[in-house]
Amino acid sequence: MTTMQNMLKNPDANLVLALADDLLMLGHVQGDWTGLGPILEEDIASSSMAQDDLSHALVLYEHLGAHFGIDADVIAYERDIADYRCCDLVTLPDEFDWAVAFVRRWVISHWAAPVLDRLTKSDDQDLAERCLRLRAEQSLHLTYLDDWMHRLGSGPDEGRTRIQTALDTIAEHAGMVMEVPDRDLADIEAFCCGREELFNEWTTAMNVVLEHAGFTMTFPLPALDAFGGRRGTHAPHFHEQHAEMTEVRCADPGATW
Amino acid sequence: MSKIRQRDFTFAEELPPHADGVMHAYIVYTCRKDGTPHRYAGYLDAPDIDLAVEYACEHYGQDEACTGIWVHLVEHLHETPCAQEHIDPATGSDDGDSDSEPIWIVFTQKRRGDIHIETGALHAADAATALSKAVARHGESTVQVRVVLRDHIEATEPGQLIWRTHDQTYRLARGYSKSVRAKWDAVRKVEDVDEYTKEDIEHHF
Amino acid sequence: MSGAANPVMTIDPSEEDQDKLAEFESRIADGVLIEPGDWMPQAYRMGMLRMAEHHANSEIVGALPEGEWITRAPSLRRKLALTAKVQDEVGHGQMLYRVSQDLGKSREDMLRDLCTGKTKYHNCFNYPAPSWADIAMVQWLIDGAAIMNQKTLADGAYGPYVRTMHRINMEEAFHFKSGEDMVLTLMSGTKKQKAMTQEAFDRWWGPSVMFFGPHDKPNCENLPPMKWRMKTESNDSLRQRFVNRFAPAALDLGLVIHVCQKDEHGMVTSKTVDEQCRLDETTGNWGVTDPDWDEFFRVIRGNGPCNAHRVALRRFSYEQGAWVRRAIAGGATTLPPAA
Repeated sequence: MTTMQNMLKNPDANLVLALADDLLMLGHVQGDWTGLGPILEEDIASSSMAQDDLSHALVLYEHLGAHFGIDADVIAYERDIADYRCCDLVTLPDEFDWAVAFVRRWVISHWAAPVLDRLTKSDDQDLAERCLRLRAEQSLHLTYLDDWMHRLGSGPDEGRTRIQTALDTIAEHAGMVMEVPDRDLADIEAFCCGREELFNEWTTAMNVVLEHAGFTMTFPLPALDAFGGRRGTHAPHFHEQHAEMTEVRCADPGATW
Repeated sequence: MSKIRQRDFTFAEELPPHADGVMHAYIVYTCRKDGTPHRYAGYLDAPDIDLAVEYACEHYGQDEACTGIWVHLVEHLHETPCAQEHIDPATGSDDGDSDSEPIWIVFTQKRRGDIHIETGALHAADAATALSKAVARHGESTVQVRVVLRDHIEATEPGQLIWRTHDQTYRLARGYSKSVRAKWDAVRKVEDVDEYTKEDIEHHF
Repeated sequence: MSGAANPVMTIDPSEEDQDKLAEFESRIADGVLIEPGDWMPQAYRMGMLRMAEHHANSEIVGALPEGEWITRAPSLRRKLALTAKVQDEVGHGQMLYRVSQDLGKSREDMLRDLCTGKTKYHNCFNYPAPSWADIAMVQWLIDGAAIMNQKTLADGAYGPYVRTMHRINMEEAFHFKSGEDMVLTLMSGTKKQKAMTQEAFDRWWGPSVMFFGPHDKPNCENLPPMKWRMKTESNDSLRQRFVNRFAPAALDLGLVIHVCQKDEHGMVTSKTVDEQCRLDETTGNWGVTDPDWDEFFRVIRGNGPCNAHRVALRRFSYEQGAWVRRAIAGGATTLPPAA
């Protein structure tokens, strides 16, 4: 068995990969907005957060890489497509609609926070310490994004309508953020026994903000058997993003970049 | 490249009208290390000071290690004219502080073209008095003195995380300098590399 | 990046108050910096505004060609670096628009004039970046040229612009080092990487040599842009220093310096080795074939390979973002407490 297969067969590693892949692809799609944002200052702030997300993915890949003996970039770029554990929401096309991009990021950031909280309690000391730092930095994003949600909520109708429409679009995909990355993981406490608790914590935190801002978003917790991106059955848009992300690196396998 | 960037665009003849609403200009100062003065970093535009602070953290707070940020409206600045040579401190007057008066933060500029750096604080009843006191106390060897009412300055919380804790060397020259030098040395004569690097920027984040 | 003074700038100081003008010019000659509260000729104010605006536009448009490669960067570190680099361009644009705003033009007006083609940006961003190696070349050659130029601009006379230039240059140091690192890595890599790098070099060497603008007018030292220290070194002198620095470095890297013919998309159609590109032992200067200045002016007039696309993407971004600006520009006075 290769080192990569070792990692992919490891339930704990899959939990970390689910978060790391979400952050990688979120940083990837949000980073694409750099230079194209609606306000120069917002563009800069948004790009800083995209860089954090990419950095956080790297920090997690480095943790796994050290454990399984794989280079972080190989984990990030050179897995088979079915071995990416991200949910489909992170790469949901925004079609250059800032509202969709904003809400997509806001939902994933709210998801990352309680997941990181759980990982900080991991028995793996190295992982716990890394996640503690990541959690503090993801908190900065939450503060910023929640503030924006309030601002947009107290702004003119035009913006309110666009954000609510985006929330409705995102809600269709948001439940699958809770997809278990591996059916065999059913006995992993963080994901399954605590699955409802995690779902409640995540959605409650979002609803507090939405309520203040005058928006709504509801979606149910999908069944444990529901499968999609996290178990490797990715939506077509992930395939497109993945092809784009790996285009240069895979054009010349083995080269140093 | 991403599909958006590849797209063919078609537009109406006219640009849509200007956005309504007001943006204000803010001045941003950063502090590199607790206990050291705040230094002018730059400007930004924002609708209000809270968002200005958030923007400042994500821009000027990420250039180099940063432990604190101050932001205030440009209009809240009171300054002396910029002197050609140096300010004469005797043009100010200092009749002592009264704790009952509000606090003003003093910034000074050492030479024309330099940035303004936090130099002290004082009590004064109004801007004119504050500026006059600041000139008397801090004007020596400066070309310009500025004062801002402390209550007009919005600051980040003490100990607030601004500069990130994960590896930032990817965005700093020092993250590359050594390996770049080694790679040049592998393909060029040392004296040629020395000559070539003379044009490098000396001061960098 | 970038920021050569608008190459077609002409300034007429005859309308000014002659006594004040004489005093202003003598202060500049003494090396005194001008701060916003000082008297300055109207032509100087307008000239500085146009220069800072052109520079800001160049940063904002300069973010576009490199931005195309953020999603395709071949490693996480390169992806992070490129994102940060493009972000820096936006930050530079923001800071430089502020310098212009203080000289009397609103940011909104500047962004709108950029979208409608009323104002220009640096010519080099009208060329395509069709491979990853182009990103390496932009960061090595174009940022290298920009740094040489901006170091002289930081030695100019207008305080706010000088301060901004110092800060920008500190960030450019990272861009340039990152570019060198990419070029050096590619040129010590596989055959495919080396070929890709040579092709990108062929595309960017010409625009780099043209970066500093056309040949100077005779007597340029005594004309306003230099006399008023809006710029402090002539185009040709900067160009010579650039060639002296980069031509031997490129050759030592294993690159070949070509004179290239390009099609309307900016792609090389034929090339010959630049025979003039060699060291003149007597002057110590490196030679270079004079670039095609017809091309330069054709591109400036809007007919370069990417002019239409760059401006259209800027406009698209501006129009798409309008509702966000409207949504938050009112100020957030009725905010509930953050959760």
